[in-house]
Amino acid sequence: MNHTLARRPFLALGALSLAALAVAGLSLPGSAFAVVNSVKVGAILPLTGQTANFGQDTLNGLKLALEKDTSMPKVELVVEDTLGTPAGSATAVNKLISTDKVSVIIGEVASSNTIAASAPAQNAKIPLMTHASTNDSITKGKDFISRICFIDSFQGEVMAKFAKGELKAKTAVILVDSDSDYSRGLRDSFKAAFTKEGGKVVEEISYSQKDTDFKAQLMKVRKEKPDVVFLPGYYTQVGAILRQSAELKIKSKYLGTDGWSGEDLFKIAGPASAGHYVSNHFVADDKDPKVQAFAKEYQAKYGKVPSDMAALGYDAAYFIKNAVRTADSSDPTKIKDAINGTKNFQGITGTISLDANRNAIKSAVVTKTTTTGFVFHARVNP
Amino acid sequence: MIDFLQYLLDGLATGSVYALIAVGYSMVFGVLQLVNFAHSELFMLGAYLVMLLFAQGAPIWAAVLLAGCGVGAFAVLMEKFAYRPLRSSGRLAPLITAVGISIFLQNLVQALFSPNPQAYPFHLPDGILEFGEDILVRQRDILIFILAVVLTLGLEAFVRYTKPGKGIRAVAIHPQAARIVGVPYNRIVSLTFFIGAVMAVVAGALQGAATNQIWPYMGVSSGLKAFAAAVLGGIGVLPGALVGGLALGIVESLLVGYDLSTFKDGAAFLILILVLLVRPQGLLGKKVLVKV
Repeated sequence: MNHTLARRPFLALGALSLAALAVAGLSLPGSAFAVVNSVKVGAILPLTGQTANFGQDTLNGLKLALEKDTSMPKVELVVEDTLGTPAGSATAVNKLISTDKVSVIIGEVASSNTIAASAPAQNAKIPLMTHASTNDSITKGKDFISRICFIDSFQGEVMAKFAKGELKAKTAVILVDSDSDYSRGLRDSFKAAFTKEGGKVVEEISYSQKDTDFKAQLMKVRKEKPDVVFLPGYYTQVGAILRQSAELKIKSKYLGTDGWSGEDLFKIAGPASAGHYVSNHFVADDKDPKVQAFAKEYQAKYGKVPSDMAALGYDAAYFIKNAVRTADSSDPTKIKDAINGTKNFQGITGTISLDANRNAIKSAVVTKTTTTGFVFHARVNP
Repeated sequence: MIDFLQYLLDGLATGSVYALIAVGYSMVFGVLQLVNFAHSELFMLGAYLVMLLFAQGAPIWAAVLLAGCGVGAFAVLMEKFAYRPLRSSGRLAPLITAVGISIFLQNLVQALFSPNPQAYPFHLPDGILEFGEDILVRQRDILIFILAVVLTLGLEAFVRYTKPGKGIRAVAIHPQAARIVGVPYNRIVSLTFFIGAVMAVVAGALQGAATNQIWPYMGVSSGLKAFAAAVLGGIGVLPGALVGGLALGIVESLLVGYDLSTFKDGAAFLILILVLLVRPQGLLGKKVLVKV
């Protein structure tokens, strides 16, 4: 799948040849007058597969930002579908690097997929900036890999403190998606923080992304009767788990993470989706005027409320343009330096400053679920 | 002990869906010695077609019946145009074709509907029966189990006592001899594909109704596990498909119950390997002696 965003073919051609010139080292980087004209940006997104909501929303956000912001440099976006799998992500990155010769890549969403994509990007020295992958290990030791979202040791702690503080929970069961690095990382960080706060994790149960019936797992939850169930997973399985949990009349409150934020969760879970607490990057009913303006534009264009993936996609587009302007070049290494040095970037999802490990230090929002979406509950700063 | 009983009961519903899919693998293998890997996609197609027909206002029994005929016809055509021309080209060619059809169908459904999971419009009763404090059974699980047993045993009776059924057995035992005594070979092969597809459609509709979600890749994992179940029960033996499916469902449920949930998905394939090593004819299969 290959979406080119250039409005007219000859513009695309122009952009292509300029990008080619730049890559060939014929541009004049650093010269005060030569503001780079165009840059070829790749995006690896799960447009199909079990996490397709993430990819589609991100792409909506990216497109909205690129349409709105017509300032230089002109961005030529090349989108590759990853099928939401690690193998698909590695293939997509390789294609963007070797065939499309992009200067910088945005994506993926699921941590396992970004991990698979990061090695080829690092080896080819093409910056890969993920807008949404939160697993701690992603950027470790790879200077071309960065992110504009918070990391899981923060996210797990936010939910652990919320469980202990606001919900006064003493016991927790953790349901872990054993196919996902993301879920395993969050299990560890939640468990450490919850135990430190004086809570007790009474049981850890795994499930798989291939599962559709979760009764065996839920029977254990039912038996333990924990105060909260921490469920760091992706919306497809989460939706089914919530629905089946309600059928078994399990009373425990569910605590979720940003993997919940796909609209299909509410389709699958139905009424069972209401009343749980989730950590997110963004929520559309946030009173912040910047958020409100974005939510209104997004709603007008796509006819639905923006998810946090949409907001992160929107931020990613502005963030990358900002970095290219700072680098004043379409040279990947220069863009990498500009990305890694970004401080106090004002995005829809908060103020983004990258630390020495190329992770963003940002606040999280705790949201409450209704039967149709997420509503603002609290903001938590790092 | 109470726990064990609960896990056992939990395994039966998942196992029943495996069993219904396994029937198709088993019958086709029995007749053609072909592992029809596209079979798992018939399960997926069935779920989608039932959804479509039900949304058009058809009552559920009619939707399943029509979808069964539709997907059944598709399976017959698939055999006629994709497998039959390759019958004399060894075993590998049709196997690869099957994988190709499978990929084609997955992508076709993604293009026609969407890659996203769809909520299912039809639901089975979601009440639960409580036996004492600790034993809980969902009504729909009982329904699924009964349906699976009735359909498989009914099919076994069909194969044993009716004329077309005897034809299927004759072709399975010795294709050449069956042809010589006048069994219409190609029609029998078509019939097995049709029956297997109908079973897969029922399984797909049950899975959709039970879990409220279907998606284009839903056949991949269930299909592979059902294949393992068919081998476990004895491929080519119909009650074997039922026994293998239920056994696999129970094993998976027990693994989750006894804190080994991480190994749940591997279990099917471990069993597959062990069965092939130790008792390749499966639980209910008879040893076939190849005379040299």
